[in-house]
Amino acid sequence: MMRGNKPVMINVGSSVNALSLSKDNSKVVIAGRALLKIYNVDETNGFTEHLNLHVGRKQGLNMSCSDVAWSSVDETLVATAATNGAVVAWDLSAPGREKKLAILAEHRRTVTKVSFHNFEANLLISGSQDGTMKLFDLRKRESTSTFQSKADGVRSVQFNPHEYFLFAASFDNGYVQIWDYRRPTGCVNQFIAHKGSVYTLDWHPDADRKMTLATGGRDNMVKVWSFENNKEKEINNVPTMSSVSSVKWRPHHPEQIATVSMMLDFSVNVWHLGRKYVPFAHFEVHKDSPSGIAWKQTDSNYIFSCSKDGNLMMHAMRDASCPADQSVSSGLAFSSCGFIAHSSQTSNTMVRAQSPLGSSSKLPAIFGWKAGMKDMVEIENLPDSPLATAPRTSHFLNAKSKFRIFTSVHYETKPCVDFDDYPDSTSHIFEHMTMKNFIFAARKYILDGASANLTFSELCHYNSEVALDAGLCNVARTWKLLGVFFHKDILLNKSSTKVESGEKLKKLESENKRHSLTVKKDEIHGSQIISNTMNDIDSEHHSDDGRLQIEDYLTDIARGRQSEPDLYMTDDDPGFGYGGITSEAEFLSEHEYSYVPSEAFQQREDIELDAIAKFGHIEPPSGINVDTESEKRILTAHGGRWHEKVVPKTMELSSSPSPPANEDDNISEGVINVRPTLWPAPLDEIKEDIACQQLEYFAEMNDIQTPVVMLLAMSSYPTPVILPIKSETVEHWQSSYLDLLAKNQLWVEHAKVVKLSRVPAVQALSSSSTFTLGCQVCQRRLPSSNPWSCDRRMDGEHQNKAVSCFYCQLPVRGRYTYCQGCSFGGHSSCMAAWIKLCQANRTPIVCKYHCV
Amino acid sequence: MVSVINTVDTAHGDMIHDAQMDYYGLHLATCSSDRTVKIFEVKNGTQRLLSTLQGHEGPVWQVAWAHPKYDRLLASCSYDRKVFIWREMDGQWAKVYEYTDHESSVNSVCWAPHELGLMLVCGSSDGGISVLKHKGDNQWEASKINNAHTVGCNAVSWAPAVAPGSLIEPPSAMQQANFTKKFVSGGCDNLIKIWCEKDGHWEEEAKLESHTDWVRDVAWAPSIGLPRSKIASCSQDGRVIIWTCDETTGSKFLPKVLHKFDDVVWHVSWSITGDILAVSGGNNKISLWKEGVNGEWTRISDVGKGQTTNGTSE
Repeated sequence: MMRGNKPVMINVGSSVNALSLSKDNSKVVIAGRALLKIYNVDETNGFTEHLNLHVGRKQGLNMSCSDVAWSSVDETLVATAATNGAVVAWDLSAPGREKKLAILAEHRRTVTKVSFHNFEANLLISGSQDGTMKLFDLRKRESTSTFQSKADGVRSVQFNPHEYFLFAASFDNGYVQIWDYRRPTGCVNQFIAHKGSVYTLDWHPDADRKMTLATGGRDNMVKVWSFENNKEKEINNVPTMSSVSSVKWRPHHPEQIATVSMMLDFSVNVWHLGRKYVPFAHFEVHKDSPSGIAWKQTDSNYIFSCSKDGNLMMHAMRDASCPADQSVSSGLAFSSCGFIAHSSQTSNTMVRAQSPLGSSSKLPAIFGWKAGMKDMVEIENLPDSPLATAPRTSHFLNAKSKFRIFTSVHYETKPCVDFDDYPDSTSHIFEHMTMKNFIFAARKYILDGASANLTFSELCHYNSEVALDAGLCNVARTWKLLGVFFHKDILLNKSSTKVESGEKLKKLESENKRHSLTVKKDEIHGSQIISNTMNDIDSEHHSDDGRLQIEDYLTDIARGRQSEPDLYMTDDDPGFGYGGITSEAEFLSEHEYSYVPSEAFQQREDIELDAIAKFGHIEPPSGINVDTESEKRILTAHGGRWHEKVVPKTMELSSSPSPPANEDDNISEGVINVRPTLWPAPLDEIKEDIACQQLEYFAEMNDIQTPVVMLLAMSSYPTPVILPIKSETVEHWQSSYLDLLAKNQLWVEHAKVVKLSRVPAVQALSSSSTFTLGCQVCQRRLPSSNPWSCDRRMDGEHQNKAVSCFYCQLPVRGRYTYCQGCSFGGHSSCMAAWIKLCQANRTPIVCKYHCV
Repeated sequence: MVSVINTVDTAHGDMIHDAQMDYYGLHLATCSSDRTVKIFEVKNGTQRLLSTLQGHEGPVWQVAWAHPKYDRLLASCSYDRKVFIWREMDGQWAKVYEYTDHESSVNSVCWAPHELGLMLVCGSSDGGISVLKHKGDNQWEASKINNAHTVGCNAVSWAPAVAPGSLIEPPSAMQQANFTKKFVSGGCDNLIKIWCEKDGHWEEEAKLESHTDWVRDVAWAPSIGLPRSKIASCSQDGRVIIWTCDETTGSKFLPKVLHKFDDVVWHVSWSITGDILAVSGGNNKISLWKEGVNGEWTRISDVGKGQTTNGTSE
């Protein structure tokens, strides 16, 4: 993500292992396995070759350089470290091509690092894989002292730029040692700095932080140490992304440090200790691991880097990409409960602000991010920081986040008095956002009017009041409208005489029931009332229509009820726990039935097959292929609408005699207002279109609850009205609504919708579970097909890992005793003890299988 | 109107880059530059730190919750070029999968709609987009779109799954084929692209050009009600654009500039019903927008930092 200019660069043709800058920073020396060159650096001309020290054919292993150092005192002195253990000193002022000053072959293994003394031009220290450091005096052309680390191979060594006699060395075993070179017998201090090799170290360049040392290691960490009375103290650290092969403090920026990595990461990063997780600046230009870095001492806005890919570069800080600038500084999330979570960058100074809205709600304390505040001073300390970087630093460091959760405060369920007072104001929107009225309405709506024994107009009236309570005036009005439109079409009972005779009584009953419903709906026993009522209706219904019509079959099937005893639910459903129903009458007389909550599913398998079988005499019209859609139509559209919708079509397309015969049956039964109106009144003609438009309007307004609930309510009666809305649309609406219910954890309402739905795909949901079990051993979820045993139980993992006893929690080896019903089990002795304990205390047993 | 009900002390050591509520709105995941992801339980206006997920080696840019039917899974993506998938088991979070195939910072992750199966899309600064598909037993199959956005991809978002029969479970191979798998991505090339899976390959279906700077976030609106596609995008150019596509537009996405802000806009987020859009920008303010009947977008509220008090602020 480089956005700036290209860095000044040159490719030298072979892998570069190290670089070092001349005293005046006008030249750079680079060294590699067969490479030792000096380049002039010029920002306009880039790198130009100044001198090639790698001359002649046979240079030998002395010339295979692992490190190079340029004296910061004497412009003419350069030292290289060779992989064969030699340290070579070069005198650039020497005439001719041969500029070697001395070959100091004293180390037994690879010299990893050479470093000049900061004040004494002739003092040079080297560190080697052989575990020793040697101090050379170039005037003597031999080592004056050898320091036995008694540790491991030396990775890095460097003189302290301010303390004349001190140098630090780091080792492969994670140690860092501080030495006084006057005392070669033992180090001043040593400590474990990193896990694994300490590849690099760098003394802080500032005089006032002269005893501060940065180290970098294999453990991906940069650590900053300070020393007081020879005791080390870790004062800071930067966790980088990969092993740190080189660290360099940025001159004049005491909190900034540059790093490069040994592998994987080819970028050069500059970190700020005040914000250690995000690189302050980032250069991603190399194609291979960068092997060395050096800051331009005279202008700290430039950094040099060399890489294994042969590139030598000079990067300008202004060209760096700044990951922090590019990072997203705010987070935003909507929750399903209508909260908005928001995190945002905060300014450093928290202002005590007053809410402009004068909100009086209690608000908890505001917490900000406090770490790193102390480093804020650093910005002011910059001695001659260029204009470009100072604001960036402050901006960079000011990164803190505040995290808040918002919601609407002014939520009141304010029933609107007038229908015309449709509050399309913001408060309405926030109520909508928090979904409180959605949840309220979802809980209160009665969908299944038939089982609640409410006529359609009563249901609409009730639901309209629910909508009003929820503050949804438009919805309430639509409910009323639906009631007016369809109360003649949607009947509580097939037999019209029944309805008429029982109307008054039912009204009274339903008044009572409405009270009990509203009061008890959320209680468990509330369902009893509903189911009792359902029983009443059904028994009446069935006794009256002794000769069951095809529609009755259909209706019952669609509602999950069948009169065929052998097709009735199997007794493996634990919610029922009884079996052997021999006749429907017996079933209806069973009181256990009333314990099934109204939203409980009844076995619905083989619906389609059965329906088709029952409709065996209706041959598929010759013009229509028997596809799933036509099956759906048979299934979903029945009762009054079935005739209106399907029959005319089939009549048009085929000459099958059955549907008209069916219609005749209906007429002969004396069903009023159920049969299609041949010459409909104007309202009857358009009312469905109006209803459809209204529902689609709600859907368009993102109110999915209203159309779904209305459709369900209209289709829940024995004589339903199915509006001509595409089944895909209905399915989409229903699935969206179900998702919203699930998000609000309204499982009961979810189940009711699934139960009442006539969309096969939604109905199929009733066969899936809302919870899953995991295997105790392998933690995998158990298959839904047989959720009592893990399908991987034969694996080694399962064989070797014992299941723990539920009683003593210890693993069970050998015999495992368990209850077949609840599957709790453990050691035989523990189970016996448990049973005894339960019996002694007369504890009620949770497991109904009486295992204990 | 809108008020802060809570200021959460996340105790993150650095800037928070993303916060996501889970499906039920009960858990909150935040991720920060401090390399951690934190999980909070949010209940009755209070929150409790449940877990701190450590493992990333760089700033964590985004987190995403999977649908609860796949257990409690969380995906996180980071500057360290990795995508982690975390799973909670008995209150303990553990990293179950690590995806390392990106060559640069991974900026965005998004789980596919649950109907499509367990699938994750990741957008990275290397310009590529990866789609990880769960093959069962914690095996993930990755398919990568290389060079989806030159310079880098900043945001990805799935289209809602709408296909007939979408609720049947478990989806058979036949039914899965019915779904159009689609997502939208936004990148540093100022483009928004819509990707569609065809014969197991991801193809660029549409390229939406309108922004004049990096696209920072894209969000496909949940489809509730009408089968209409709506995408919100925001950019560094300060503009928020709503792209809509339905029968009337001829399956083309038409842009409509919601607003031009003065500052970079970081995030756009739809309410779960898809009718309110929350926009958060560089000025640390959130604004809420609602589409009127006439198709015009109106700002219904500003949630600013001015409303954060009455408590003991610092």
